[in-house]
Amino acid sequence: MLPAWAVGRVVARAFVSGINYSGSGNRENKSLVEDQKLSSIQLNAAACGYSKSFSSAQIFKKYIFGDDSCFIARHRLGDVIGVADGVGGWRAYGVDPSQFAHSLMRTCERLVSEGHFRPESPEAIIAASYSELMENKVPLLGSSTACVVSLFREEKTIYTANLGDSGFLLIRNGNVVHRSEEQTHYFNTPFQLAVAPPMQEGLVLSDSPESAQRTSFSVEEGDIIVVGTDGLFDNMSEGMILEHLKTLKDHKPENIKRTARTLAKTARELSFDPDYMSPFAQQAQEHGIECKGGKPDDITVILACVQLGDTFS
Amino acid sequence: MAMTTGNVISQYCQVEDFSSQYGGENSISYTATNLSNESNIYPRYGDYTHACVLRTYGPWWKLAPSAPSPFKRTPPSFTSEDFIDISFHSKVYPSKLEIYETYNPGAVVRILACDCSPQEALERKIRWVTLWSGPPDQARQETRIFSPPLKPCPFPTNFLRLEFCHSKLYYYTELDAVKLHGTKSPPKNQCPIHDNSHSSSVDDDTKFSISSLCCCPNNRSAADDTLKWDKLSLEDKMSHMTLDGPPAVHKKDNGYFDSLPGEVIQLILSYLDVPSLCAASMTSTLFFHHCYDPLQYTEINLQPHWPLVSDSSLEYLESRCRHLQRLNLSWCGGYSQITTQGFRSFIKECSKELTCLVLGCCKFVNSECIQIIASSCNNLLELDLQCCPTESAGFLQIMKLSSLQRLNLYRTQIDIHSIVAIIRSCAELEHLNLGSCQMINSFDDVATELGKNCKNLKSLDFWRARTISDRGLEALGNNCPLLEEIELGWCPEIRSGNSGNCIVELIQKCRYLKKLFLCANRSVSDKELNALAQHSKYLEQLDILGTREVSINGVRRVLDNCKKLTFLDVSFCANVDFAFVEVCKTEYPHVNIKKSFQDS
Repeated sequence: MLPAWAVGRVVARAFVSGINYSGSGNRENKSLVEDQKLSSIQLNAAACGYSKSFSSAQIFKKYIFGDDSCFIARHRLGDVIGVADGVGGWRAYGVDPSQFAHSLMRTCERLVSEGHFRPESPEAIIAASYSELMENKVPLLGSSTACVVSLFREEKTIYTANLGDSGFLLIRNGNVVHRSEEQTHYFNTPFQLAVAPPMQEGLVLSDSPESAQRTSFSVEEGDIIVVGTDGLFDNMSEGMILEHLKTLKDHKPENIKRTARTLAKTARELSFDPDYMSPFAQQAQEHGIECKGGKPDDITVILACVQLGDTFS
Repeated sequence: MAMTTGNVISQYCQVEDFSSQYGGENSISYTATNLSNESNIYPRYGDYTHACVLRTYGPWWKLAPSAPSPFKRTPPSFTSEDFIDISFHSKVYPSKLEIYETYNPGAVVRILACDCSPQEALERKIRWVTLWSGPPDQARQETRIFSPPLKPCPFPTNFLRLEFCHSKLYYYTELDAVKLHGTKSPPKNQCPIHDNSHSSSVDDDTKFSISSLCCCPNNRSAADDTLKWDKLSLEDKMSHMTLDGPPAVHKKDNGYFDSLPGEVIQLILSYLDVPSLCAASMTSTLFFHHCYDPLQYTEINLQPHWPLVSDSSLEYLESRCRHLQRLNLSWCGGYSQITTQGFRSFIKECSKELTCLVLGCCKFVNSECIQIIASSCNNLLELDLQCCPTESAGFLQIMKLSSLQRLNLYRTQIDIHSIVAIIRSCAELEHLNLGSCQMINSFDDVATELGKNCKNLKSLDFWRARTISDRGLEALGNNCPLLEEIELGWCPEIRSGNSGNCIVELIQKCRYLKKLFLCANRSVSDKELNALAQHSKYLEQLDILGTREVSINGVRRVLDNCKKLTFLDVSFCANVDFAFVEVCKTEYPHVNIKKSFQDS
């Protein structure tokens, strides 16, 4: 059982994140006043997440949940969402693992909102963002998984790129119509983008952005997309997520936010349950590792609903 | 993206053109285009990737071995070193301009407005008016919105140029956004101005220069209208010089000037900038003869007068420039104000003795112009084509200029084929700038050819050369021992690390190094610093920004042993903390130690 102060923190955190995620979307809307209104398809998205550690006295930052990070970006051509999970092993080098994932996501967001992207190639957004990391004067070290889902408004199609063990679900009429595949080198070791110190190049796992798995699906109004880091999918099965999404009565922004928050919260509670047979534990057993309980991890969830709405002309 | 409050329209800019940038050509980090759209850094202060950053700052590039000698006849009031052209959605009479300066403010020195949009400008004669100008400022190091008082603009505009002088700055200036406020109709307190180029204008400088640069000697009567005014201006100009006695221009005769030896008059006139010289020619027969003496036109710098220079100005100057040796046309002729034809006839007439030609950011320079230069300017020693939009293959012609000693191709589209051919035929090259030449796909081959052909190479700029590696550096080290300056900033393939020793070997072999820039080379370590401390006794400038591998001991060894060091950039070196930098600043007061910062 968690101490009372920790629970209080959960609530506080959820509240702060609830305010945060409205960020980029709403601001874009304001600047549209002059643009011609046009009804077209869009993603209405909200993000929420939890850091696995409460004890570390880290300052809460926008869109960072422990070593996870995410972004929601809008542009005339399409809406793009994505998550990244920083690889924690870098702490040993005195490197904050969240920094890499966070920089990767912030750069993706900038690339999209400034129009340096094509909605039909989310893998190129990841690749461009990765190469921009090297263009920073600050020498960044670290590695991260990445999953980016892009809605090409004109084609009414989502294009996805997934590198590593984050992932997404595409849900239509209460059924999962597509689920991303994990890319792992071996059990619990996902594909990852990395920048290694010069002395360790070649010794650190580093996959190229091109190795991201790519898919595309046409979408319909009412489709739901759940994008999450492994903290979500290792602790909640598809069935549980679907069950949870039944609480989403309509696709109003505040309901999407609330559902994203409760989904992340449920995953978080399960992750600390020592007796729960989580998807992660089941997988571990398949690999011959005796294991049960949830998997305490940073959790990031983006819940996006495909809707018709007023948007860019 | 425009916002309207009452009659005032407020809008953010789009970047149209610029003369240099820190960031890579295909990047979104530290690039000039980051000035576009809304502010996203302000009110923070620091060195951020999403800011607009120019290529240089401070006096450091002018003190380096690669610095070209300055031009005579440059008016001291002209301090601009870089520009950014920006456009806005709607044309307005500007009432206020807000420039968001988020790091080392104070570089903006001039703001000009154009009477047509960038698209319209290609089709007609355009007019630029100065809205504000001021001296470079070493402002307090804090974020600010710079909003200088603007002169009334006689026309509605949506196209501005910002000019920058960063030589007084402590570090790179960074800009976030530009917001223009203005009205669709002229403000009420502003008298309606007839937008007629012959009427009196708010922009006296411009008027003065237009008439004088375009004054044709065979058509003196046309100049009479402006003569009286020009006389006064000349008097003003003359009084700035250390000339004793009353100005002669008010008298009917030539005053005391008749009794001066011709050489003295020539010497006095040699202090004038080109428009003043042209104006002086209209004052008297005596001055006319002296001012038209081709020996007054051996070195002309038209860059300060770029808004006025067009085909016709070149045409008028043509007859006086038979002995022209050095010409600076940088920034001139943009938006079709100089054509290939105009340039051709000028160069054909004036190229016999031309040794130095500077054409920075000249948008008219195409393959044909380079061909004209290559076939006419046989004595050319220095050629600067930075930021010229010429297509890749056009540069090949430069190979005919076999006596070239200095070649600047920063931010051009030159390809590997052309540059190799040029290097093979120009064995005298001493200074070569290939910064941000993104079409060159093998800088190792460039370096190898330089090693084979250009033994006298003194300075080499490979800024953002993505393909230079150990092999290229080895060729340079082995064959170009006279190198004094090497720019290797943002060259990611140069790996020192455990296996490579290429930078150390370069340092060992090039003993005359005065400037070495290794910014963002993440593998630079104490090994390189120790080599510098041991071998580079002439070292003046060192940049090792952005490496995690150097220690404060390594930095200290360089400071202790490189006695001539005046500049050291250790920004974003993870192990070199601010406390240490502060200590070093007091212990080594002769060294300018830079450490930039970025709050996350």
